[in-house]
Amino acid sequence: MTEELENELRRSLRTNDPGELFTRRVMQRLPHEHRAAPRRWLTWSAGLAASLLLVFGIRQKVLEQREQAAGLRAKQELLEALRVTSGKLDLAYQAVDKENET
Amino acid sequence: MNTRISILLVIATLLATGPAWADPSGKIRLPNLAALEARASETVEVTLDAALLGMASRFLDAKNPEEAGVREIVNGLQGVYVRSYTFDEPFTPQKADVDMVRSQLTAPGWSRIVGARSRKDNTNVEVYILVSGQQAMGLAVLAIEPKEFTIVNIVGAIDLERLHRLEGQLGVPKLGIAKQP
Repeated sequence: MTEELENELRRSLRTNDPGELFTRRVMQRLPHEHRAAPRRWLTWSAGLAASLLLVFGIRQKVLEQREQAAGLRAKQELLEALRVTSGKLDLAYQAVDKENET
Repeated sequence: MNTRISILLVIATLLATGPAWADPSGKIRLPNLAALEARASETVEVTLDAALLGMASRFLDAKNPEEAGVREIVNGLQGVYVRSYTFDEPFTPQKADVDMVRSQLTAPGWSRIVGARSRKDNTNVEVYILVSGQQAMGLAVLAIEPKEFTIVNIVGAIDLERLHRLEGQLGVPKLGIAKQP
């Protein structure tokens, strides 16, 4: 008895596809903004994400350029420092040689 | 030639017998030379610590033999500090500035390997190295010329053989340093 009742309930409560026509009617009756809202939210999110990516990309590029400029400046300074150092060491050796000659 | 061999022998002896307790840091305090900078016609002021040397090293082209040589030298360095001023007229630096540098180079570990003074040319060049263990850990050069005043301080493991290989490259004049035995 109980089992029959359960089966009857299951049959009555099972989900039925209302069909394409019903869905379309419901959607038509919904206010316009309710239907458009999810799409607009997606558009805004995508736009924001793209903007963030653009800002991040530009920032990375600027940082890379700054680092490159600093590196090249450091390289030039290093070469200049070695040039001066070698020049003065050469002067020292020349002075010692001169002293020995006299 | 004999002079060069003698200098290298001094360096070799210092490297072999240098005190292990020497201060490993070869950095010296440079005097404030702002007054000189204002009067100089040409100024070279280089301050490169380990981080900047690393950055500079990354931009040295390993395929270029000259720059590769510089890279090898830089690898063991902790700092490069140069103050060089050229004047249009004969100039004598402040004694206090010179003494400040010299006094630091009398500290344990530092040795003067060259001290050349020419009264005729009015030139005085001194070269010092800091030896720690068996390694030159610092180099200092003090050069006083009639129209030029230069202080160089290189901190870190200085490989003289690599420095020798750099001679004549990058517009650097030949040093005439013979290869170490």
